[in-house]
Amino acid sequence: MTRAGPTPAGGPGSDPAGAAGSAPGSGAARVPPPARAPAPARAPAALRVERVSRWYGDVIALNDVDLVFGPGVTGLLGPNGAGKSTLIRLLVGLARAGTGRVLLDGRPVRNDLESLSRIGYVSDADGLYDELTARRFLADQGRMRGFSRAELPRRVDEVLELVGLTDAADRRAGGFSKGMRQRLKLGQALIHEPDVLVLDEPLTGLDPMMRRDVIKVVRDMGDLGLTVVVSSHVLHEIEAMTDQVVLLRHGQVLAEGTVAKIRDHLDDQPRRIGFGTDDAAGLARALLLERELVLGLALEPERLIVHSMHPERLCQRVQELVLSGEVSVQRVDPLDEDLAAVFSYLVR
Amino acid sequence: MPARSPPRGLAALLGALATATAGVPRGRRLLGLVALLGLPVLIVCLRVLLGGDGRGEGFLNFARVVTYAYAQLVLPLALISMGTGAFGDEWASGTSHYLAGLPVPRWSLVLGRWLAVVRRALMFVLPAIVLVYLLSLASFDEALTHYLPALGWVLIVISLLTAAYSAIFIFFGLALRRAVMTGLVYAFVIETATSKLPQAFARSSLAFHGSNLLWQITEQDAFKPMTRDVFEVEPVSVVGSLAWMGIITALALALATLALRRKESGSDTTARDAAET
Repeated sequence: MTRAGPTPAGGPGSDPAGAAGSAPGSGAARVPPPARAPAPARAPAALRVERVSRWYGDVIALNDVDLVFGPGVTGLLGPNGAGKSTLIRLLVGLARAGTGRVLLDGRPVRNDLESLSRIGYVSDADGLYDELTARRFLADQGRMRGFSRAELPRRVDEVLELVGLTDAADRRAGGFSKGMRQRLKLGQALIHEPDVLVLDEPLTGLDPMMRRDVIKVVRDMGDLGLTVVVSSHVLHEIEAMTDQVVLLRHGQVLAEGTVAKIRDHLDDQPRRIGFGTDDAAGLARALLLERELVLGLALEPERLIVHSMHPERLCQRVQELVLSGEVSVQRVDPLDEDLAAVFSYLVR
Repeated sequence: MPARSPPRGLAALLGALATATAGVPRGRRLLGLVALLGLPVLIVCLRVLLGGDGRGEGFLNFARVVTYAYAQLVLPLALISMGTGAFGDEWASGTSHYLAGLPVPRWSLVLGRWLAVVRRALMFVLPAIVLVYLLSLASFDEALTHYLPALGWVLIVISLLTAAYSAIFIFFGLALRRAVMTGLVYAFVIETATSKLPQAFARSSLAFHGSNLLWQITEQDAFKPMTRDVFEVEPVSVVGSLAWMGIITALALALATLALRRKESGSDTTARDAAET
């Protein structure tokens, strides 16, 4: 079980979004917070999950989860059934915790009007008011979130432009494509300029161009100092938005922090390193003598993949071999530094 | 601090009223509602075409159609659909998180939706009743003007009955999984049964107070419930019936507000997903 650090109500550089990395195992080690976005343009918000558990009958969806989300973008990852959707619903006050509580800057989220007024939420459900035009839907949402009649038209136009729906503003949502619906949902989440943005699978159904634009919007929101939580099961989408992640599995936090830091703490897992070489067999022969450094080898055309518990020493040894002229190596690729690799280690 | 103060009090109520789109009769639901409301009108048309009634008979026909067709059958049926859908449609269509995430008091959402349902229902029901009145009495000299005060009272009582039934069915829609079925059982089994019970029990029945008010307030014997003579039930005063209907309505709205506070959005999906896991 992982535990988040103290509540980070501070600005960038504090330890808000579960910046403390930890990995499975008895240690649950902490790492220093990563560098954060530029100075926020608004008051930072800390969304804290305190020892939250949630059951559905006999099935436990979340098990004693402790997390803190602060300014910047945090990716929420996990296989189907990991508890992502339940956690998201708890974060935005749509569900009750069985035990524990969810707080936004010290106030409970559920049924607290002030907290709700600071949160924008994009659901993974496709539901929209199909009979309403995009403009009317956003205006209704804006009105119920405190915009005056005089302010509303300008704000609605701004949001329509932001999500690329200006041309479709007066069309009913029922006739929208999946991508347009997704953009309209994003628009309603942004209409009231929230401090916290929670997005459940926000890129579903978007074309590549719009996907790129939405990723940019999400990153910009994080850079502005919003607390952004993005859930997805598509790893490269999360990677495009942030390197700060929370990994969930079976309702528990498997790891949290930056991808690199989480990987650093997987000490009991061998690393895979690819050496680009014209003589992979020769390099393999040379390395087979290094039993301490090499756990396994895989020969590929013009590449040798080495499994090692000591990647730095391995690289040093290969460097010595190259310098001695025994082998030639054109490229060294650490293969486990991406999110997919870390994720596959953690969930297997 | 929130970037913007969300509406409170009357502003929140008016906002909820203006933005209430769930439960609006559309498509097949609208056709069903029109057919339901139009059927009594059609029956009266046929009766007029067949002719033969005197002036008093014309008003008696009107009273019977109002009491037995609209107040006891059409109105509850229409309101089961519209009332349970006022919130239930949000959960059925996956839009409940927009509602549940609004930073406005839950009572304002319930009151706003309730007023919206009452307004919509009256837009259909009152014209239908006026049409029945016109058809029933148009062929008799001065009958239309003679019974006009009674028509006014009828419209008021039907409006009150609409408000009370709407509150109950909105509560059902929020609190119960099979709200429509429960609504049907409530309206046509429980209500019908309790309204015929001795007075102490009958007072909890909207149908009882509806028919009592129609009779007492219009001062027309045409509205006298047939069972009154059989069971020799003492009528409740107008104020008494109004108070009972007010209490039932307020209680239903308060329970609906509590149910909305407790209700989770997307919980069914989550539970199903979790169970599959």
